[in-house]
Amino acid sequence: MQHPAKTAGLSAWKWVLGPWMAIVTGLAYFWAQPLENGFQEPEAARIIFWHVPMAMLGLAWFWAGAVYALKLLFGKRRDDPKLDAKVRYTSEIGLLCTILATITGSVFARVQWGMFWNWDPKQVSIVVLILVYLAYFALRLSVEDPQKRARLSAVYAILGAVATPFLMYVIPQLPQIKVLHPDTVIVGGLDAKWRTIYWMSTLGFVGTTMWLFQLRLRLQDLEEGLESMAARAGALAGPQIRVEAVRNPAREG
Amino acid sequence: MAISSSISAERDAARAADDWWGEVRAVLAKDIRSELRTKSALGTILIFSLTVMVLVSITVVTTGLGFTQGIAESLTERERERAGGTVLVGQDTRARATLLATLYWIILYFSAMAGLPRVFVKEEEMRTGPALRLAARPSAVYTGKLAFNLGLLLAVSLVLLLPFLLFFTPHVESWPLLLAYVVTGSLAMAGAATLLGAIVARASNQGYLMAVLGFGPLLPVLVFAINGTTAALYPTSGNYLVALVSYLVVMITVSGLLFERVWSD
Repeated sequence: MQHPAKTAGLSAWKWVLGPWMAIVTGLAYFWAQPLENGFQEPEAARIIFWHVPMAMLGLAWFWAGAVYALKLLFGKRRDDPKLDAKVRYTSEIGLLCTILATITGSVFARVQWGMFWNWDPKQVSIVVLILVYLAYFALRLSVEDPQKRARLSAVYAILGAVATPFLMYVIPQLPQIKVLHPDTVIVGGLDAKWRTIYWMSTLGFVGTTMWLFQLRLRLQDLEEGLESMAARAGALAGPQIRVEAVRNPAREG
Repeated sequence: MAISSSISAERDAARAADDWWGEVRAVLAKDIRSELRTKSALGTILIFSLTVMVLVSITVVTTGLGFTQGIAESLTERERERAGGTVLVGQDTRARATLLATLYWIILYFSAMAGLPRVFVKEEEMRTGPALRLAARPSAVYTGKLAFNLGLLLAVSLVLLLPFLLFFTPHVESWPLLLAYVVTGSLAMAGAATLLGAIVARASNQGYLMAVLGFGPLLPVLVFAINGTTAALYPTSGNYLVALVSYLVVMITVSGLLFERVWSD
């Protein structure tokens, strides 16, 4: 049940990611020179290393969920509960990333523009993304039957993914809508040091979130293993003795 | 033997293809007929939207954006005196146009969230769902119910336009543009909301779920329609019709592809 190779594989991640992110953090605060151009507080420009990758990952994990959802609905392994679990975990991770992006963005907004929140189009997009994620989980809570739940939430994940190009790209580009956010091409305009750290940070966060995903899948495997063990023990013990695995009820849904 | 079986296979295929439109028409006719009998969806949407429109009209007047310059100027001296010298006057400003456009679409949005899922929810409530699953193909069911929802929301949006114009007398810069946005906006909203209604019908706790689920996918419609209607009322640049139509096409196509997985057991 517990594959030694898998265990070793998973812990290898942390030996790579830990030092990597430590290096990125060090470089971000000691190597990169503060940006004078266009930033109220030049030091605050360092937020680019944390906020932008988080925002991108929030969206990317949503799309990853939509891909798993497509597999669940139309692929070879239709209605596979493991795929449903994958859609759910990608949504959990994506929601975490999006919330972190919102918080870091809000802190930066206070420093740069004086207010924590302006309803600038990019801010609108990120809040809408959070609400779509929450709606996904609300839908999951509203359906009892696991197979129906898997299907309906997968359909909603895909619908949400189809709506995201309009929400994320078309609306902020509309010329009538006032834009406070720095133009996204700013990353291209950064000097070499900043660009390096930025891409290192992005890579690090991609790795961290993927590691989180693998850990979550592993946790699910272990829980299922525990349940089947309990079932087997119950079968061996005979009808007089009841054996059951105590599942954390909060984890269901 | 081989020749006759291929001919009958062709005939069956032709009959099946022909039947698809027949099935769609049958589903649509059934929904129209049952709606005319009970008026559940239409009643819900119309009463809700008219009530909120009236409520909003009453409160907006107090903000000073209810009246227009023209009305204030036409008051006689005596009326002005009776008003105590202070008359709430609103200019036909961009702010007023934006406010009124926003109110119209938000009212329509919540009415749609209340009424559009009815077409699927009533199948589950009346337990006619299984019979419909046997009687018609999923694609035909979807198309029929989509046509019903499109027609319903279009009718409601046009009907709602009358009290809107009556209560607010907005200055309309371009009537064709206003109608264009009302029509495309309501079609886009209904197009996206149909599949969402089907999802919600198969879940419990349906009351709040539709508005919660609908917000994300339908926000683009709201943004485009509100900005477009503002442009129709007060001259601003910006063409959102293309965006609305492309959204409509994308959503209806994707919904059609996904519907079977929601509908079948």
